[in-house]
Amino acid sequence: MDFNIKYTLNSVRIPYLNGSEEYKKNETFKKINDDNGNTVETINYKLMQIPESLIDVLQEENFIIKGDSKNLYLTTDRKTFQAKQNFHSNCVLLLEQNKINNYTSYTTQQSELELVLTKIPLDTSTIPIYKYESDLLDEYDQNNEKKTNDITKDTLITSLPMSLKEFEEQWRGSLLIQLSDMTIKKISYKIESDIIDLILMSVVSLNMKYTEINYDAILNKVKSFKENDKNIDLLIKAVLEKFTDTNKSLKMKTIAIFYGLKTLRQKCPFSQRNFIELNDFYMYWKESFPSYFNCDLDIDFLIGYFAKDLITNKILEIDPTRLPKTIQKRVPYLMNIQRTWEQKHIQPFFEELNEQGIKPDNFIMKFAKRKKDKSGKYIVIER
Amino acid sequence: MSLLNTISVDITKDKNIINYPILGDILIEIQGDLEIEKPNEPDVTKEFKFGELDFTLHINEEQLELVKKELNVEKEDIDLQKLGQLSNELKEAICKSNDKKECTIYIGTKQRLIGKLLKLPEPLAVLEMKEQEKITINKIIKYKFKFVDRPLPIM
Repeated sequence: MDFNIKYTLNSVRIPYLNGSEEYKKNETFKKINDDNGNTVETINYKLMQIPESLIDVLQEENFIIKGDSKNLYLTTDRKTFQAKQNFHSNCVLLLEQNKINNYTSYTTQQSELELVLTKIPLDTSTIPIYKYESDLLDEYDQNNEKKTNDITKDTLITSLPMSLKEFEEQWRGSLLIQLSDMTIKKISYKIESDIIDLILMSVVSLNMKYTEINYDAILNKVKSFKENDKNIDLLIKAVLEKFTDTNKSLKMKTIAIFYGLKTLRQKCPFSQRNFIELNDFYMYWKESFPSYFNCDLDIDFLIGYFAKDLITNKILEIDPTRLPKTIQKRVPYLMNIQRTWEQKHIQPFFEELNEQGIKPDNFIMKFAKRKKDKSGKYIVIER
Repeated sequence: MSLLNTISVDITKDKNIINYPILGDILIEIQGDLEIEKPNEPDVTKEFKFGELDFTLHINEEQLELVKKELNVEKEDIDLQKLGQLSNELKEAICKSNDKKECTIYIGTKQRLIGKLLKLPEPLAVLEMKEQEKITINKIIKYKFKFVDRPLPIM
């Protein structure tokens, strides 16, 4: 059966029918006066592509548009999308049916917003640091502390480009705590270090298996050492969440990396250009753990935080946050530290600046020389 | 990470949020600019006719049975207005079977364009910004009439 449809197409005298869409920054609502002096309210429209997966949850989840002068995001309860505006030169008319077979154009559009699924890591660098009044900030915290204002958890959730579910997932292990006044703080490196020491000591003294951690027992044990701190419960919970997984097992690699970085900073700091023997480093690393705590150690865990001399096998700490921020400056800087690098050791310092997602080998070859040595390892040298 | 400004999006609870060309808003895309003669009328809100769209919607036998069942009417009593009351699933199925079907648009009295009804690669939500800090979605468009060829004269 066929229906022959004839739609009559009408339009109000919209000024943009014969040209580009009128687009004025920061103007979503405007009132215009018609020739009789009456105020006519105009509505601005935008077309946004909606992935099919969102259509099903459209009327169930909360949709929030978040943005600043540079980026625009749409978050649902579970996902985050970045909105990109794609312009075209076609004439796109949206028409509304007002009578049978009679349509009226109410807007023309010159662009569409495209939603791209995205996942943005929780950046805690703007969160004020939680520290004891008597403590001076550790050098590490000083480097990372920026001028920040107090912020509540709710404000943070609504103003970050991430959905509620993604925020909750990333909150675990972020070392953030919500204090009784509802503001949030990030635990200082010194407190984190103290508490993980106490946690591991408790695990050892209570003869706990590393795969079956009893939170309450640890909490009581650690509290007996830190009786004066009213927020101790929050601190222990936050540190435990970073170093244990949801199955209540200790994350051995995360613990090894934490103590490894601590040892690097103490024993072979970059500021002193103090290269030390790898075997010595392993010894210091082992000694940095609380007594009787056993953990597998592998220098490869710390790739991205040290330089290793290929001939002498000596290592030096590298703080990636202090490296030059452009690849053109970073490569000479790294080559100045040592002239020959094993590729796997230098690659993370390149990767951080590979914003276009170029293949790692090709990206390295754009700025340095890459060749195979006698033992079959790839090495990177200056051009 | 800088903190962002936020605006909640109100989404209509109407189950007919999805608009199909059978009944509801339509989207017409024409390659290039549309040149039409505007009447010399001072009232900007006054409507004027600028064209006509001609399209033949085909409903196959199987769909016809479902239409009769859903609307509880005989074949002879089915008209376009009633098709608007169909369930979204059936509207979707009818539009899908008419995907890439030819349509014609007449602009004014001189020009004719031949195009197609096409399913959009991704549905488009129409964001309405009525006032500051308020965005609503009342409509989602799934199909468009697209015209890419050069205009032909009306004979």
